[in-house]
Amino acid sequence: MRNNYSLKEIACLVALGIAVLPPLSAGLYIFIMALPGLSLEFITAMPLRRGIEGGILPAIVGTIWLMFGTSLAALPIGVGAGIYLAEFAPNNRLTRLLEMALINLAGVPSVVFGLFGYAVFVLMLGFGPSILSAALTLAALTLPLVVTATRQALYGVPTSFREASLSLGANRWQTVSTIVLPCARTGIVTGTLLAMARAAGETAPILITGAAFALPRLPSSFMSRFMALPYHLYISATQIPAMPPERMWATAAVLLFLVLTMQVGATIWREQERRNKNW
Amino acid sequence: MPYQQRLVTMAGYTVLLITALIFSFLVQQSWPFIQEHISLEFFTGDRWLPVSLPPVFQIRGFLVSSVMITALAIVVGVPFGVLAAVSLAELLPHGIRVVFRSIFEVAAGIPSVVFGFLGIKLVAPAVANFFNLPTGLTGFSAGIVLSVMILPTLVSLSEEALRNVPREYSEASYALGASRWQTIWRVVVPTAQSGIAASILLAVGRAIGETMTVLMVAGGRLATPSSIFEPMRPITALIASEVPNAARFSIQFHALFTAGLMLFLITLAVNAVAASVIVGKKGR
Repeated sequence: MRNNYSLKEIACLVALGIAVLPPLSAGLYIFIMALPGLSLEFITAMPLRRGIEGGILPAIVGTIWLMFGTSLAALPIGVGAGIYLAEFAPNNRLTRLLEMALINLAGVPSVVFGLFGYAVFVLMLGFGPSILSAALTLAALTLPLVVTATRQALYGVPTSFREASLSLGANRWQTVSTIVLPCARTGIVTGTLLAMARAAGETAPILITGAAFALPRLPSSFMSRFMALPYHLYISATQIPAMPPERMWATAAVLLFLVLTMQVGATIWREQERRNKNW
Repeated sequence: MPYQQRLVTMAGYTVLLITALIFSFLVQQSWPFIQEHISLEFFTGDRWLPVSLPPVFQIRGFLVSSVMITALAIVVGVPFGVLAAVSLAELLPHGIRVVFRSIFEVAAGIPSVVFGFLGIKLVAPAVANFFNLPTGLTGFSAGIVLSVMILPTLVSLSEEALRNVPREYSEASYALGASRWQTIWRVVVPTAQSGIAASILLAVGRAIGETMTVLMVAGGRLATPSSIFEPMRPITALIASEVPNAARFSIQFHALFTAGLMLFLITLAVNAVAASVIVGKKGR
C-alpha cells in the first residue's frame, strides 16, 4: 500500500481521528475527574444521607446480582438456541421466521424491554419490583447477543470435524456435544461476558422494573429491591442537586471500570484463543 | 432424537416465543387505551395532560422531538462514520486498523447512562455557552451525544460492507489507471452502498430507541419544540420518565404502553428494511 495520501484521503483519516476522539477522551476524563471521589470507603460502605455521604457498595453488589441473575436465565436459553440455529435448524420457513425474530429482538429499544418486563414480571407474575424482575427483563434483552455469539462460535468450527465424528459412528448430538461445543467454548464464554457487560450498563429496563436509590442495605434475595450502578448514576446526576460532583464521577468511573474490564478481558481472551487455534 | 437435541430446539423456539410475547403484551396493555381513547388527535395534537380531568393524551410533541434528535444524530454522525470506515477499510495498514477497530468496539460498550452523564456535565454547558442559550439541556445537545453513540454501529457495518467489495473490482479500476482515491470513491463505495445504507438504517433504529441519553440530556420539556435548540422530550424519555409513577392499569399507564407499541413498530420497520437491504444485496 502506498503511503503518500492525497488530500481527500487525508480528510478521511482526519474524520477517523475525530470519530475516535470523543470515546477515548471521555474515558480518560471520567477516570481523572473521579480521582478525588474514589476511596476504599466509597466502594465498601453503605450510602448515607441519600447517597451524599458513605459509599456505593449496595449498587456494586446489586449490579453483580443482576448480572448473575441475567446469566442464569439468558445462558441456557441463549446457548441452546445458538446451538439449535447453528447445528440442527432445518432450512425452512419456520427457521427463517426464528432468525427474523432474533434480528428484531436485537433491535427492540431497551425501554420497550422495560415495559415488557414491567407488565409480565412485575405485575402479571407478581414478582414485584425486584432483582428477579429486572434480571429476567435484562435476560430477554441480552438473549440475542448470547444466541448470536454462540452461533458465530459454532460456525467457526470446521465442517470436517463434524464429518470425522459422524463417520466414526457418532450421532449428531454426540458430535455437537463432544466435538463441536468444546472447540467453540471460548467463543461462547466471551460472547456471554460481553452480553453481561451490556446488562450491567443498562438503565432504562431496571428503572422500570425495580431499581431503588440509596438503599442502605445489601440485597438479601432475588425478591429484594436493589441498587444498581447505572441507576445510581442516573438519579445522582438528575435528581439529587446536593450530590457532590466528584461522587458522580466516581460512580461513573466504577461502572465504566466494571463494564470495560469485562469487555476488554473478553476481547483479549477471544483474540488469544483465535491465535492459538491450529485449525 | 436425543432429549438434549429436543431441549436446544425448545430453546430456539423460546427466542421466537419471547419476541411474540413482547409484541402481544404491548398490544394487550395498549388495548384499553386504543379501544376507547385513540383518535387522530393522539398523533396530531400537542397536549399531554395525563392526570387532569378528563386526561388528554397527544404525542405529536414527543414524535417531533424523537425525529429532530435522530435526524441531527444521523446528519452529524454519518459523514464521520462513513469516512472513518473508508479509512479503516481502504487506507490504513492492518496493525493500525486493528487498534482503531478495537477502540470502536470498546466505545460501543460504554453504557448509555455514562454518555448521558457526560452530556449533562460537558456537552450541555458547552452548547449553552456557544449558542448563548438559557439551558444547554436541549435536543441539540442530545443529538450531538447520540451522534457519537451511533458511530460504532456505522463504522463497523460500513467497514464490513466496504471490505466485502470483491478485489477484482478495485484491481480492474487500478488497471485502467485510476488513482487510489478514484478507485475508492467511484468503485468501492458505490459497490458497497447498500451495505452502507443498511448501517445508516440500523443507526437510525438505534438512535430512535436510545433512552437514557435523551432522558438526561434533551431537557424533558413537554411542549412541542419549534426548534432543536429547545428542551424537549422524545418518546423513549416520555415512557421512561412516566411509567414508574403512573398508577398501574390507569388510562395513563395504557397510553404509555401505546407509545411503547408505536416505538416497537417503528424500530421493527426500520430494522426490517435494513435487513432486507442486506439480504437483497446478498441475493444479487
